Amino acid sequence: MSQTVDRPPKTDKPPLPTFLTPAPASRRVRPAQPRTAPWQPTKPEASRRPSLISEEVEEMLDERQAARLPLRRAFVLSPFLRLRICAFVVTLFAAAIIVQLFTLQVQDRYQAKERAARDRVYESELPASRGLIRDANGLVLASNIWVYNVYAAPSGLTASQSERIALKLSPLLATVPPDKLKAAVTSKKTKDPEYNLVAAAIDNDTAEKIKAMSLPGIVLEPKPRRMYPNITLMGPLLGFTNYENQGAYGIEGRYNKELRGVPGTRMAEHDRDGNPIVLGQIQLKPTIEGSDLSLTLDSSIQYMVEREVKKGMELYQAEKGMAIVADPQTGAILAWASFPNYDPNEFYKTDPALLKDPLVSDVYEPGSTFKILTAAIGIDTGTITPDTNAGNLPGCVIKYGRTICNFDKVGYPNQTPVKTLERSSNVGAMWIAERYGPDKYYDYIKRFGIGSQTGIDLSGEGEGILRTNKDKGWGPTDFLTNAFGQSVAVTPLQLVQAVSAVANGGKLMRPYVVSKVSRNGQTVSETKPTLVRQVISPESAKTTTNMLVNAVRQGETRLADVKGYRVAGKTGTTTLYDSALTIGSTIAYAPADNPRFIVLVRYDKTKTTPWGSNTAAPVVKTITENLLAYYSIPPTEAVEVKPKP
Amino acid sequence: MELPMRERRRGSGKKSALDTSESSSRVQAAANRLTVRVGGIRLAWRFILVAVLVALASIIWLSQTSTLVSMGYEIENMQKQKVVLNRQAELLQSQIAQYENPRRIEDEARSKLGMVPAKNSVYVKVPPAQAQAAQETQTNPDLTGPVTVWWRELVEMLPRSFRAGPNTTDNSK
Repeated sequence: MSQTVDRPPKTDKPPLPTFLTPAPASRRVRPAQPRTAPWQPTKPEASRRPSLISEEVEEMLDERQAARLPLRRAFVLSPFLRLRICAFVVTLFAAAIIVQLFTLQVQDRYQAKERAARDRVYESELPASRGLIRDANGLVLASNIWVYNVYAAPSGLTASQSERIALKLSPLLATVPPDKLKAAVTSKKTKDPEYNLVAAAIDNDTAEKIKAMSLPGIVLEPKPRRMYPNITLMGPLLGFTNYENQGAYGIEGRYNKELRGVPGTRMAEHDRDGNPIVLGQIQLKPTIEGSDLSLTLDSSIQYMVEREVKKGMELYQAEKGMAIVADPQTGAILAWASFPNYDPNEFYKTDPALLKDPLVSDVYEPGSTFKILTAAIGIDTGTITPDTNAGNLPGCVIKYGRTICNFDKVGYPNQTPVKTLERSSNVGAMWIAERYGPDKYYDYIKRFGIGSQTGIDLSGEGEGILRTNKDKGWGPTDFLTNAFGQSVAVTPLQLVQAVSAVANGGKLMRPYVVSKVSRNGQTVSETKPTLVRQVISPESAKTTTNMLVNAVRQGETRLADVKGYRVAGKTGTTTLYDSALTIGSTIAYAPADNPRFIVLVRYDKTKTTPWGSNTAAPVVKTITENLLAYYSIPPTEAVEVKPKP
Repeated sequence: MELPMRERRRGSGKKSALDTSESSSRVQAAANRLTVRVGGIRLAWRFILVAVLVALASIIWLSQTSTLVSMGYEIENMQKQKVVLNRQAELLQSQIAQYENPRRIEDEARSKLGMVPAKNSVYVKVPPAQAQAAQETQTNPDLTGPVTVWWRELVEMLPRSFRAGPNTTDNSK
């Protein structure tokens, strides 16, 4: 029998004989099994499984195990130790999780909260649509359409995909060069996400076709855009909206605040697809849509006026042509034309010099049309009557060392104020002005609104240039030349306003272009005719009108006469300081006794003839005829109809 | 201590009284047990009832929440559709405005209908009574009446609803 021990012998010391070291009974081991490796731990009997292999094989295996044992023994860990290690690892892992949780929940809680909120809760803008602009008959002059910007996000696309996309887009985006298109849809392998603009402001049909193709990496961004369906009609008056859809110039600029509306906002919790979650927090600031504007202008009149002015401009080879048609009773503007004009749809192609509206911003010497005011002041002050005899007035006079002449340098015997207007006599106008003097003259001229803004609801209005006897640098010749419309500068609108006061019985009315501001069919504000002041008495106005009717029928303005109607008017021509060319104009209103409209036509630098009586007057006549027919105003006087042969 | 529960001895008064008290205490105990049991059953029923109510309330709440969420998505979809339709409406409005352009109308009138600007307007003095009658007839002009070619072409250009006069009925579909 041999004793079994748990450790190997230290040396090749032979085991002690059993008779020398008798073991106590309690420690006495069972009879030893035959083993080749006596130090190997013995398994308890009960835990041993019955071996299915023969003892020889077991022995052989044990021998082999014994041969390897010294090496393996160093790595053998007790189950308890292994359990401890596992527990340690799990604890370490749990600690790491706890630390991470602490970092996220406590240390970085604000950042994490903010990041989560930013991804989930954000504010989105609810755009307000820009209001429409309509004419007096409800015709839309400015509307909105949606255009699309095409963007490519090629970061996830392969080269072959990019090529295919470029091939598919190429026929639809004909304006984009193929190489540029291909470059836009091909990834440049940058770290930042790429969004390349492929095409800007494409129309709705093309966008729908691109959408239908469902191309990967192609995104369409809708953008509102202003559209002016009548193209150049009223272009300078309407103005335009810039790339940010903000109004600039004209009505768009002046009424930008009303037209643009107020965009709303929605602060809401969103789902993965960007849809707001109904049960989440929603803060809604409702959108206020832009207001619609109704103008006093009539598209039919506007079109006719533009057509006639343009025709005259070509006929007389004028550099510029412009016209205003207004209702003298109310101050409402009916037509507003100036050439050269521009298409507000393509404002970016326009010469910046054309953007400023000359009818309200540019000033000019009104010439003989100003004699209307000189005569009206004379009548109202009582210093003259239509038939006051001025005696024989020469064609030229020398005043304060300056020679001042009539346009034809011809004098007339027994000249009266009526004859002065008929012949458009400068000397006669000076004679009238001298009767009441500069104090009264400038007082009246100011009351007529000369030298100050009319107050029209358009931006960029000029004040004109008026130097009175109380201003520095004024001289007596200024007063005399002012009488026939020189040394004074007015805007076309100022002249229309002043002459309208003569036409309507002496009332100076504030001109306006917007009659109504409405939103969703409800009227927000309405413009009523505004009386600025009574300038002259109705009687004086009537007398002056009669003088002007005479000037049209028998005078220089006769080319503006319309048979069967009483038309009151006056022409004017002024020579430019920097050129031998002239500015010719004619202003007239009809029917003279109860005027429905007033027309001013002006041509700058005409080449065929310098005189306003030959250029502007015939155009005024055509416009007047058309307006009388348009308003169905019957003639007041019999017209001799020549029988057809 | 064990009491003889089942056996009864006859002829002993004391024992009989004892039996009676024992019996009543047993009944009491049984009654107590029954009460406890009934109380337990009631409690269980109450618990079940509460649970069922809570479950029902939860189902109703969930159902309402689900309906609300799905309606929220529906509203969102409808709002998106509204935006698309508004855009289409704006586009159509712009197209109408383009068709109403005076220049286009004049071109159409000249080229298609051969119209020319009126040169001579003739105004006829009409007695007031006759003028009133004329105004009344002109309020609803019968557009189907004229037979000239250019007028027929003009009428055909108008939408169907404008073609019929006030006294005619369009039965075509």
